[in-house]
Formats: sequence, C-alpha cells, structure tokens
Amino acid sequence: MKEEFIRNFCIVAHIDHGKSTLADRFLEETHVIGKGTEVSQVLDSMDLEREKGITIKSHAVRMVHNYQGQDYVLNLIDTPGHVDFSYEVSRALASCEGAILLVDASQGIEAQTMSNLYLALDNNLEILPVINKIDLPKADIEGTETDLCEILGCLPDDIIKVSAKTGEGVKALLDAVITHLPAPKGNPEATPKALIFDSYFDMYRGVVVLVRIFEGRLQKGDKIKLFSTAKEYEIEEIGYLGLKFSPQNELTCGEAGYIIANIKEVADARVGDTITLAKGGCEIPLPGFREPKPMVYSSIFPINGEDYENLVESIAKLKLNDASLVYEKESSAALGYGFRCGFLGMLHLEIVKERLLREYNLPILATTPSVPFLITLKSGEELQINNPVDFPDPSIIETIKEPFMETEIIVPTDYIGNVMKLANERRGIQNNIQYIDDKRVALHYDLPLIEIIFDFYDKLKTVSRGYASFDYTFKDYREANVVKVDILINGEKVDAMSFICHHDKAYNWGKSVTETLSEVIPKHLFKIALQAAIGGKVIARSTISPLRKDVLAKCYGGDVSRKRKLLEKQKEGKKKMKEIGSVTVPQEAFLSVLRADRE
Amino acid sequence: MEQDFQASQLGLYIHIPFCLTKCGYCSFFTLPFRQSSLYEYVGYIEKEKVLYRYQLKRPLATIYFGGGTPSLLSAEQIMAILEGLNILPDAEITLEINPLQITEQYLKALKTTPVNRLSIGMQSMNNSELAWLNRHHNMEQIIDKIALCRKENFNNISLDLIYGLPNSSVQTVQQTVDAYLKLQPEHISCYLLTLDEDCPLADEIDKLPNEDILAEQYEYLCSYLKQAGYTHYEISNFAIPGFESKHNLRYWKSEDYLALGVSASGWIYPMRYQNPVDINAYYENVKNRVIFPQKEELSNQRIIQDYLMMGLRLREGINLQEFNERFQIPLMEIYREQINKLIKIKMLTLQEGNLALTEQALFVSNRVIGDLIL
Ligand SMILES: Nc1nc2c(ncn2[C@@H]2O[C@H](COP(=O)(O)OP(=O)(O)OP(=O)(O)O)[C@@H](O)[C@H]2O)c(=O)[nH]1
Ligand code: SF4
Ligand SMILES: [Mg+2]
Repeated sequence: MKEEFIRNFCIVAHIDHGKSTLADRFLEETHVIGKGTEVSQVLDSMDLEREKGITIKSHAVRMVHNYQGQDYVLNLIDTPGHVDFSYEVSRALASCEGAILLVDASQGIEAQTMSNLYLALDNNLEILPVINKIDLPKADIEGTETDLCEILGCLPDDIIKVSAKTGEGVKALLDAVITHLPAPKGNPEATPKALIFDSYFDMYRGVVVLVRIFEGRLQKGDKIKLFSTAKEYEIEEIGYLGLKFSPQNELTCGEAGYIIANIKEVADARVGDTITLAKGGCEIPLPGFREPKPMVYSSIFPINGEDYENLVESIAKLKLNDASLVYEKESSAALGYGFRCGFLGMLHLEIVKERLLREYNLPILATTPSVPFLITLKSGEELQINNPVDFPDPSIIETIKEPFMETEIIVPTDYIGNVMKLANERRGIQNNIQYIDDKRVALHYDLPLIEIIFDFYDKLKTVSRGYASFDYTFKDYREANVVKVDILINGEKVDAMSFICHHDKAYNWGKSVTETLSEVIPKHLFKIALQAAIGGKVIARSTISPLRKDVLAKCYGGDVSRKRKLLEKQKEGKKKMKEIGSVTVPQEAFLSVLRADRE
Repeated sequence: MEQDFQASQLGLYIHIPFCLTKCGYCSFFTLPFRQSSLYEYVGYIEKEKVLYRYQLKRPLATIYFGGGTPSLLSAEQIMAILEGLNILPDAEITLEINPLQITEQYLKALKTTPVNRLSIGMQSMNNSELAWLNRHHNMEQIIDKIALCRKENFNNISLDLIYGLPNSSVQTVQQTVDAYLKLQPEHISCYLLTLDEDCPLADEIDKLPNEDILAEQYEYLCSYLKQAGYTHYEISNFAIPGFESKHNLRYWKSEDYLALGVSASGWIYPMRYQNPVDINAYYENVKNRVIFPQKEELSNQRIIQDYLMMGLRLREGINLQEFNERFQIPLMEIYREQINKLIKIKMLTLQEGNLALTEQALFVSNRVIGDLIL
C-alpha cells in the first residue's frame, strides 16, 4: 500500500472518555466486525481489561475505509489510559502520525486529556479534536468546545462531535482522519527500521511483536536484530493485524503490523526497541527507548507456604508477558519465601496481584508498597533501597533521596482549597495554578511518590466529590528526611510490616498501624504489645489485653463431640493465620498495615 | 486395657426431652409436655433398653435422668425404666428436678425408687432474674421446697446457678450465692448464661455483660464457694468433699456411659454414638432395632485428645501415670512442646505428676485446651 493511502493514528483521552467504545464503532463502520457484535470493547482482549473496563495493553487493528472512491488503510492503535503505562503510551504514540483527542462532553477536559495531549504533541502528532458522548443529556458540548479551542488554538468548526455509543458522527470522523491527519513518510528502499510499540505472549505462537515500520521493509524469512539486546531472530511470520492475524509477505514503511520470530519472552522484545536487519542493518536506533523503571516495590508471598513453588512458576509465566515486572527472591522471617517485585505504579501492582489470583489461582499477600530511595552512606557508598528491610542503620547514612513526581490536578474552582490542603499534607510543592476556564483550574505540584501511593487518589476524589482528575510523571530525586519504621509484635520485629516514611509522619503512621493491628489481631492468652519503632526507639505503642473468657460453662452433658467441634472451629480459624513469635496474626493484619489511616 | 467386660462398670444417661414451658435461654432440643407423649416416650425408652441388653449386663455405677424435664416422670415410670438393670448397691442415681415439681407427694414417691441424688434447676435466687429467664418459680418457694427435700431425707442435693445475666454484677451473684449457701446444698453447678441464636432470648444477646465482668463474676464465685467449704473440682462444679457428681466424673474421665432417649449421646470405648435429634427418627430407629446410631469409632489419637479435653476440665487435671497406663505412651512424649509453652505462660501446671489448668486458665479453658490438643 502506498504511504499516501495509509493513516496511523491513535485515540488519546482521559480514562473512561470512550476510547475503546469509539474503537468498536470504527471497527463496525469499516466492517471488521458486524454491527451489534455481542462483545464490546473488542480490542480489550484480556478478561481483566473487559471486567475492569480499562485498557492495560496497547492494541492495533487495521481497517479499510473508502473516501471519495479511494480505499485507505487506517491503523488504529488503542492505548492504555493509566499513568502507570505512560511510557508504553508514548511508544504507541510514536508509531502514529496523528491522534484523535477525545473528550467526554459530560466531563470536559481532565488531567489525562492534558497529559496525553502533551505526550502526543511531544511526539509531533497532528491532533484531531473530537467531542464524545454528545448523546448524554448532561453533555456540555459548547463548554467543552470553548475549552478545546482554548488549549489547542483551533476553531469550533475544526472539532468533530460524535457519540461512540450511538455511532452518530463516526463516519464523518473516519473521513476527517483521512483529510486531517498526515500520511506516513519514509523511504521504502532505505535500511529497515521498525519500532516495537507493544509485544505480548501468545500461548500458541510465542511472543507476538507489534511494529510500525518507519523505513524500508521487513519480509518473511528476514534475519533481524533487536537493538537493545542485540539478539538475532528470523521472521517466521509477518502481517497485518485484523481481529485475527493476516499473514503477508512483507510490511513496508508506513505500515503497522505484527511479527512472529521465535522470541521466547516479551522481555526480549521491549516496547520502544528498534528492529533492523541482522546484516547491514541501520546504525542508529529510533529515539525514545527506555528500560522499564519500576517506581513502586512490594513483596509478594504466597498465603499458603506450600504454594511457593507455584508462585515461582506463575511469576515466571507472568513475566513472559509483562516486561515491566521485575522481581527477585526474598525470604521473610514472618512470611517465609516470596519475591520482592518492582512495578510501574500502583495499578500495575494491582494488575499483577489480580492476575496471579485469577489466571494462576494463587492467593497471595502483598506487603506495604514502597518506592526506591537513593541513599549515600557516610563511607561514600551509594545504594538504591527498594525494600525497607534493606534500609541501612540511620547512623551510617549521609543523605537519602526520594523520588518526586510532577503532577497535574484538574479540579473545579470550588474545591481548590480542599485540594491544596491535601497536597500540603502530602508535602506537595506548588509550581503554578493555571485557569482552564472560569470554572476549572489545573494545579501543578511536585509531590513525593511515597505520598502518592498511599491512597492519594482516593483522598483527592473524596475532597473534590469525585471531580478532580490527576496525572503524574517522574520528575527527579530530592533529598528527604525519611525514616524506617519497624513494627514489633511482643518485641519481635515483623520484617514484612516495616515501612519507610517522612520523619514528621512517623509517629502518626506508626500509631495508626499499631492501633489497626490491635483491632485485627485476636486476643491471646497473654498480653500482646504492639510497637512502632525507629531504630531502637519506640515511637508509638498499643496493647491487646489478654483474652478473659473462652469457656464452655454450659451443660452439654456427655455430648463430647459438640465440645470438640467448638475447639475445631477455632483451630480452623488459626490455620489461615501466620505465627509470629508466639502470636498468631491473621492475614488481614498485613493488609491493615496498608490500610491504616496515614493522616 | 479393657478390663473384664462383665465386671467393668458403666454409667447410664436417660434423656427426657419434655418441658412444661421453654426457658428463655434454652437452645436444647425440647418437646412440649403432654402426658400421652411422655407415656409413649417411656415405652420407647424401655424398648431401647432391651436393644442394649448386652451392654447393660455391666454393673451400673451411675444413672442420670436428664432433660428436658425428667421430673415429669412419675415414680412408676422411673421404676419401669430402671426395671431389670444391674445397679450397684452404692450407685449414684440422679434426677434433674424442676423446683415447681418438688412436692411432698412426689418426693415420697421418689423415695420408693432408687433415686438418691436431686439436681435442682433453681438457676437464681433473684426473682426478677428468674422472671427474665422465664422460669416459673420464685425464691420464696424454693426455700420451702428444699426444706421439703431435707425432710424427706434427700441428702445429696445439687443446685444449678446461672451467672452472667444482663445487669448482673459481683453483688447480685453474691446475693444469690448467699441464699444458696443457707440451703446447704451438697453440690453447686455454676453455668455461664449463653444465648444461642435459636433461643427465645436471642435478641437480648447484646445486653450480656462484657467478658471482663463475666470473668470477674466467675472468679468471685470460685473464691467465695471455696471459702464456704466447697471443693472446686471442675470448671463449673463445686461440691462438699465426697459429694462430687460421680456420673459427670465418668464424662470427664472418659469412662464408658450408655445413653438412652432422643438426642442422647454415649461413649463405649472406642466408640461414640448419638441418637437422632428428631423424635420420629428416634422412634423409627428403636422400632428398627438400630443400636449405636451415627456411631463413630475413634482413632487412638482422637481418644487421647478427647481424654485431655474432658480431663483437663477437672481441677486435679490429668494424672501422668494414669495416662501412661491407659494409653501406653507418656503424655509428655506427645505434647511436650505445647505443654511447655502453656506452662510458660502460666496456663498449665505440672505438679506431683498431675497436669492441670491453672486457676487463671479456667475461664479461657477452651483456648488453652484447643492450643494443647489441636
Ligand atoms: N452515553 C455514552 N456513553 C459512552 C459513549 N462512549 C463511551 N461511553 C461509555 O463510557 C464508558 C467508558 O468508555 P470506554 O470506551 O471503556 O472508555 P476508555 O476511554 O476506553 O477507558 P480506558 O480504556 O479505561 O481509558 C463506558 O461505560 C462506555 O459505554 C458515548 O458516546 N455515549
Ligand atoms: S428446663 Fe432445660 S430443657 Fe427445658 S426449656 Fe428449660 S433449659 Fe430447656
Ligand atoms: Mg479502553
């Protein structure tokens, strides 16, 4: 296909503004799927994606649309909406020449509308502004239009209005994709250069690599090389992505499609990497490649110790399909054998937990998340600490640095006060306030990541009655006055409960954790002391008074079995608990450390 | 370990499920009393007795009429049930009796039977508590009734006491105990009020005192009764020395007992069994000559666990030597680790060859015993 008849584009939007639904309409309009297909959100193929209604992986689909008698190939790339995956999104965007900026008319412009727009502009994409959900009674089409004109500097006439639900305006939008978005440009005879914008593991085919060809062509049988690993493969199959694979002899520049090349795991076909020929390939890769950088760490342990082998296998399998997941073995005095895992963010952590549970049927326990800290010791040695357990003794530490995020919070003006208060509590540093219109502002704060991962978003939603939207990217490491807080149960340090937090918050957090623990750990035959300590110094404590009554003082006569059943019931409950010292601690205790109110 | 079968003693429990009214705290299986129903029921007990004639060749050391309200039985019915049994001369034969049914006439009739111990369901000596429990007697009546028993020469009397009622305190418990002591009972059983979800007073569960108040009442009872000369010989039971309940001791010492009547459960080494908790199913069983229904032969491990579970309820605890002789294995060999842990936190003591709960362990005995054996 000649380049001038190709359009590679994506849809960028805030979460839930209707990307996947609009994609469904496109597929119907171009007859890739029949009208009224049972399955919705066709491109979200993972169960988890469908159930949660969120897009986790990027997907691509090839459609053919006839405009003024000419068939055009439209490659639509659907991207995840969540900030955890902003790198993946940026690579998907880099594969396109244009982007539909989709805004839900009932919500207006939100934080990720902005951040994704900037991401698209960073990648030199042409923007096609579109207002969605015009069918909704509460749609504010005019207001949204005004705001879009404001931020894009476009005219109301440039904005297309659709309802991804009813299909209204969708055909006109496809026409506009052809007329407004540029065709790819490249030299089909140059040395091949292809960008990997996603890869996934298929049980039957192995790793499937999604690519966009920027220069030259790739053919079946070509010996190729991947830049980041320098590993070489032979293309076994190459083709277009419809709903199914559509094998071809080659992909030429400007086209998007898939490659299967006997690659064993997705970590070998990294998002953002460049593919070229093994012999006589290009010298310089496409820009923008980055190693996955975990920002949130948590340890994962099987709830039942016997499941450890199972966990080893399952994590390895997950990794086949999730290059961003990093992990190493860990052993905890309290929880036994498990893994210290690094995630892109909290959603990524949630997803991994859920997949282990669902796809591998493995009940697991994840410890309090933490972020990477950069520590310089007095000796001059530099460390990155991803696990509170490894936190060095305070006396040998020279400086500690923690990751800061650049954030944007978009919120109706009524809630500015609340949001500023929250941001201050979370040690936010305000950069500026930008009025989007007379009703809404964008607040820009630098916030420590550790303050974000503990329910910042939930709190933000609460203080803004659900109206605030939030987005962030990594900014830099800054010196921080943080300490490690240990939790002791009857004098025994529970390694899996230690956490790192800002010095000024240590007391409140520690107190809240010991209090929560005192509610979830059942009474024992003896008094239990719960302490939070920094180094050897106890900063907060709670106690669980000893059990006073557990007796059968009723006459059941000779009914011994009934007495026994009472005891057995207790014992059943105990099985699900962990023994720490002589204290039996229920699983919830580990979770409650997470949930303890940290204000 | 089984002694000569013919010579080995047996206990016998006979269950009478009928009651005149339902007590507020009752979650036992009971049936409304009708003379004709009781008559029919006694007929089945007699038939059931015949089914167990082989076991019943053994000399009976104890017999216990429990319920329900076994004092609904006439003396003739009691005699009919005991007819033909091999009862030892010094056997303890207990009848649970509702205070309202203590009359001169009935006591005189009972004297013609071998019944020699009365267990009286007094529960309290506080009229408002009695009313709340839906017991239809009052304290003034009881004083006369006990006097009647004494007059008729019943000199082994046990009184039930329920503590832990809503709004109760150490003071209210003391008042009841003082009133009890005036009656000079040989035996007192103190039961903690528990309201199960299916009892008439279930809605009042929230009004029960908290566990600190309950523990306080219990501790008070223990020390007060001890002062008054009673031996605290089991978690809930107190006796003038020599008047411990021999029948209940069989339960706590895992000695064989046969059980007759609906819902009753028995233990004949190495097997437990239980009659159906449904009157028609029970009748059906008897008609079909089913013996040992729902029987379960216990593993040695299970027998040991049950032995400890029951035996540790006794204040004297488990005699290690006896244990060794009975099971041919030292107790410490099986449970050393758990026992040492529990001794360390002062829940168990090991003294003069006896392993026993400490005083402070009594009111948390479920937990202690559970930690030990399971
Ligand atoms: N009424 C109405 N509802 C719509 C329209 N478009 C999408 N929706 C609904 O809005 C919700 C979110 O739509 P999705 O297509 O899942 O949004 P998304 O942008 O793909 O979400 P993420 O992948 O999580 O970022 C769904 O419940 C859709 O049914 C529309 O035009 N009108
Ligand atoms: S007398 Fe006993 S069995 Fe009968 S209702 Fe009262 S508590 Fe229940
Ligand atoms: Mg989606």
